[in-house]
Amino acid sequence: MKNLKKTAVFLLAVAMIFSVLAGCGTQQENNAPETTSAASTQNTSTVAEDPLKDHMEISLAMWGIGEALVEGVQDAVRDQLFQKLNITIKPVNVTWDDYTQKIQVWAASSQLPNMFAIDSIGTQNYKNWIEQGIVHVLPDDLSPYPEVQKMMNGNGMDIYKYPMGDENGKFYAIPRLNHFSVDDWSTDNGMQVRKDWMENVGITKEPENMDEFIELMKAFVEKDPDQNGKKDTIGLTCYNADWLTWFMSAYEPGMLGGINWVKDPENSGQWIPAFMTKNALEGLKAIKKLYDAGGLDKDFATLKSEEGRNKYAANKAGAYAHDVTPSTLSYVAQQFEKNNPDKKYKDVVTVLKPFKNVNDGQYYRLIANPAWSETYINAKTDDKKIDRILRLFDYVLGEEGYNLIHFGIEGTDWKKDGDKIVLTPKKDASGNEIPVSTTYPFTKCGFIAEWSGTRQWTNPSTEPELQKMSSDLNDWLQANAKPIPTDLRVPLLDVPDKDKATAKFQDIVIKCVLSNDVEKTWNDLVKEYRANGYDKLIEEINAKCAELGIQ
Amino acid sequence: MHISMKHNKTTGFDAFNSILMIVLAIIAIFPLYYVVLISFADYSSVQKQLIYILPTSFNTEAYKLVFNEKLFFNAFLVSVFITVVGTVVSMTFSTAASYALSKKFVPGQKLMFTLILIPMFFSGGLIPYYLTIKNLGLIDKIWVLILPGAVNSFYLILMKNFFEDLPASIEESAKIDGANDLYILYRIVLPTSAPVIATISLFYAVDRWNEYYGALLFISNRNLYPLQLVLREAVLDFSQIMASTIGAQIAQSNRATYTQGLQMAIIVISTIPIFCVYPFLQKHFTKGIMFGAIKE
Repeated sequence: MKNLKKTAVFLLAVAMIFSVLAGCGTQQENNAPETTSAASTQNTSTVAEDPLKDHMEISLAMWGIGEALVEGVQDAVRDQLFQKLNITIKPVNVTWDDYTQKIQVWAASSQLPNMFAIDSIGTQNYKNWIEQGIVHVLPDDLSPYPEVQKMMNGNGMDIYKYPMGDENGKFYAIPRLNHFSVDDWSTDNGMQVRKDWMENVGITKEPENMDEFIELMKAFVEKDPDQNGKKDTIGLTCYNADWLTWFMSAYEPGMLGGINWVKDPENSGQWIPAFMTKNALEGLKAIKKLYDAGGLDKDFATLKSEEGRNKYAANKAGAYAHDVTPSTLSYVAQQFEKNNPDKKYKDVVTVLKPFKNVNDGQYYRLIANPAWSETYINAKTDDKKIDRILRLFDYVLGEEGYNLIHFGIEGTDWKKDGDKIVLTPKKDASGNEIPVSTTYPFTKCGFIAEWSGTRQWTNPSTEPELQKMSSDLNDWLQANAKPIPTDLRVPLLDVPDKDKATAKFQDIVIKCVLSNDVEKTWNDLVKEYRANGYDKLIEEINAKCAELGIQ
Repeated sequence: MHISMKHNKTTGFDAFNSILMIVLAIIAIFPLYYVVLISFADYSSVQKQLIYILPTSFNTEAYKLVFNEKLFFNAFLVSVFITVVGTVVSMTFSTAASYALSKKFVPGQKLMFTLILIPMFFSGGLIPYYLTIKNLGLIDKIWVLILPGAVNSFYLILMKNFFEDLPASIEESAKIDGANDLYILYRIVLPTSAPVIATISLFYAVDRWNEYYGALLFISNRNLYPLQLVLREAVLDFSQIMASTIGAQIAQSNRATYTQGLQMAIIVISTIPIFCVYPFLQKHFTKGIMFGAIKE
């Protein structure tokens, strides 16, 4: 019996040692594809003369692709795309709440599909996947794919090279553009205000600073702007507390749109996260003043999903902090017109210009990296398939492919009127328009190569007057506002403690605004973040900036 | 005099106690009431009122949408399947294993028990688990939600302890009459073990019904999503889970639109089956926690 016990313990120990060794073995296998990648970049020139001769099945993991590619369902858009490129796309479905986890597990267990979409740039995953040879480098010569080449050579795209700042750096991912340029983000943070309510409360001049804004919001609360005889309206609501960054352009522009890195004016131009500057404190105090005056939604800290938007669209709030892109304006319009069938949103809304900065008297506008998320190619994918993948991207980034996967079939669902596209939607028996995604499920993943923001000011499915409102504001901002004073490369720098950058504007603004002493709370938060890794991170970022010559 | 004073003190405390319990009950029930209320409310009425506490409208559109939408209906059927079949599979294996392990004369009984106990405290990690499931060919199959978790070590131990406490004389007399082990298990032991069977079945059923993590990791086919995964997708606030504000915004605008009413309707449908079962099996549930805890 004793011997049996000893034998069992020995066998257990051996089993545990072997399982540890098995884990080491996996890493060595993962290193192998790196050499293949280097060879592959040189082999692109040997692709067959008729590049579309062979039919290919390409597996793609992307959000909601399972809904867009359903077996047995008729879809002329899908069929036309597949025929054009002689491909079949095999969907590997991921959802918005599980995509990161799934892709990480697949990457670690060598189960990745041919291509997959994820927001990984600047993270440890990005670096590991490249250095372990899990993702394929893109060919140096992108001339066979002119639309892809144009995009990769575009404004602000250098940050997608690895290593960043290296002249010989290579692209390991195809960025998924949200805008064509860093400057096109100007309306991605804004303020919508009910101008009819402004008339009703007797304030017709648009507010140009925080004090005027507070007066307007107080009037919305106290003066029955919806004229229903009840005191049931609030001033400002928001999509969530993150969108209160709109006010920060007047105090700390580095916090417009979130927490960017800025030069600390009090410390010889050291790069620090914007929330640590004294100007940021002034901005938070201003928002606190708005809250204490009763001008800000009391529930601003707990708003989620569409609560704030619904309140505003249901005539409960007079101002709404979100973005003022054509698509958001249109969506709010839809909700508003459902609640107010006798009104048109375009007639009752105005979009505010930002306030002048209290320190330098300048206007500021949002800039950001052009892309959110990237598409990666599995290192095990062969050259012919890589070529086909790039041709797929080239096609859908171009006009013909873009129109197909967004608007449907030319001549049936849309037509050209000069330069413009005019939609000719089908209608059902009751006369309601049938959404194009119902007829062609593939259009649900119209973002296969780029997001909808890229052509937001020419999108024919957006209400034209709202589109013009957004576009006019953009024009004004480009002419009159400076880009926020940050360097977009800084958050993406490869430093050991980059994962310590955990501060979120939402958390900071909620804690400060709901506290009794904003300054004390802000000081405590800054101390806490510094102690939890930001001190080291700041040191590393500044060292890296000096190394790369980022001024 | 003394007795009436004592009676007044008790009444005062009772009154305070009752009020406190009523308040706590309202606090506990109100979220549930609110969920049901919103699920049956008209969208415009909810938006127009500052606070919606009393039902001023009635609308079953959210439920119609849930039952007409293929994804939800599929998810409901998947959850029912994995709950019913999963519970049967789990109980079959758990009962057989725990009965065998309750017999000291079984060769290697202690070793097997130790091997079952160790994974309760230590796990191989996510990647080895994923690779094991993949090598078993269970990725994207409905059985991945049933087989890997077929036997819960803790429940196994509970049942084993219960079987150990059964009088040996019942089995001995059956053995003398010529019954084999299987016959004894199914004809004698199980009928006398109704409490533990009911309790552990309920535990397994609740676990299966609430299952979502396995589906999140191993299922990509939307037709195999259980209801809890669909519910998670419907109610999730992306600003809390995504590091980037832009990313959260893109996620919110690119997924299906879930109005508050629809979210609430999915929550109600997800919780109704458990609500129906719990009142009848609650006493077994509370008793079951104590199984094997006290040795006589």
